[in-house]
Amino acid sequence: MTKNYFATGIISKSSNFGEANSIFHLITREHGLVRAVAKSVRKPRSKLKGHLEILNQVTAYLRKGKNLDLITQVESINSFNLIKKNLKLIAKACYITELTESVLSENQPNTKLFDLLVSSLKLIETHKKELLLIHCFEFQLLTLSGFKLVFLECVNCEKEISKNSHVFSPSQGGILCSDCKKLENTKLINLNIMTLKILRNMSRENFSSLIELSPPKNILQELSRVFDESIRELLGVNLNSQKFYQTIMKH
Amino acid sequence: MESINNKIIPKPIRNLILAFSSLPGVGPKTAQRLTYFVTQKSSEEIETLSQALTSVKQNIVFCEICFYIMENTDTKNSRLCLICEGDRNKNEICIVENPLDVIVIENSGIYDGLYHVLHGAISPMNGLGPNNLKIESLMKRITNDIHEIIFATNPTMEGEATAMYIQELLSELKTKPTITMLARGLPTGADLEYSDFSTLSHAFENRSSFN
Repeated sequence: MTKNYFATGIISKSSNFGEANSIFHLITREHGLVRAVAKSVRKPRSKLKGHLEILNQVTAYLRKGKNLDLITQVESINSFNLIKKNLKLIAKACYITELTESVLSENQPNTKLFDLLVSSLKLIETHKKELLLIHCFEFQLLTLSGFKLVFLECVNCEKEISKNSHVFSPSQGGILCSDCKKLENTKLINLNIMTLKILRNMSRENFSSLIELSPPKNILQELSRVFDESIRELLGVNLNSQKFYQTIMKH
Repeated sequence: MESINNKIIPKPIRNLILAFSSLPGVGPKTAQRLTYFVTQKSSEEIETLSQALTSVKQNIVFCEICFYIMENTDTKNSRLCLICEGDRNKNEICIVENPLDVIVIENSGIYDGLYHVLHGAISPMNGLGPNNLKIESLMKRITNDIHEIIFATNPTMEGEATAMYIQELLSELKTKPTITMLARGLPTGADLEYSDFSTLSHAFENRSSFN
């Protein structure tokens, strides 16, 4: 990487640094996670301030620094203004952005994951009533991070699943056949047949058809449990925005 | 932080460097500079500094109503700040994020109503939710006497999310006060050329008559 470089990214976090500076976390397409300083950005006349807002998609021009890089110029590509006018959409967008950040590392780009984040933010902005979008995102994020959840056969022995066995193991990352279920001593989740159908459609990547669905509340709760437990077990992350997301969704 | 763990540095110095490093905006290098500055000062000067630090914690409390900072004096029975006790317009409440925001608005001399300090803003990424802020006490303050609520939260996503959350709570009240928000738009002396879409759209939305 040269001394000066540019990156297209989503701003995921910011924290104050020094008198009027801020440190920003950018989820970038070209360089993975980038942490950089923007100088004097908290002053009212800062030229960078308006562009460096959380959840903005920007093109940032940066200079390599000793510890942190320096943001020299920035241009907004998409500010996702409709998201920022609705508390529920903010909660959803913050959750998927923080989840993406949690699986990324510095200087390790994951272009597919970045494109997934941007397209999901665009969908959140346009499909306000969409209920399964977040779970579709979680499924794809786990897949792109190397933890594809298995719903079409037994995750352990790859045997076909019998009609009566609908048990999901978060630690194994898939459903278990009746034989493997007996050997498993970690926490298991019993799935409704409708939940399993939705999850199998995710495995077949029928995301566009899932977006139109409006499953009942109990199915949504079951899906939330499957993904919450899987993310905790497989990625080992505890997200700050998750609690806020759950509070806002209940409200 | 490698140098802080270095055994060549005496323990009291190491402790002070670590203590300074915990302050916002102070990195290890600045903490070292501050520590060596302290070592060069006279005992009296250090005593004044340490007393000032201790008294901040001991003698400063939050107002029971608006949560602005105030001096804790034993002579006073009620814990009300000068603004809540003073002769102010008690029909308006201006909601701000931090006590420093109150100082800025007061220095401008353009507002004579009451305040409510939230002590932060909803920040999902930093784990700050509505329960971490003084929102419940704000809702208890809103009676029929309150005619206007002014949101003076920062024009950031966090500040606007906080305003939206409180606005939703206010909409559930039987008698709703007028809810206003400080104008968002171009700052004085700014160049239109450098303004972003969000600021510009706010400026156009909130444009005022120039007749």
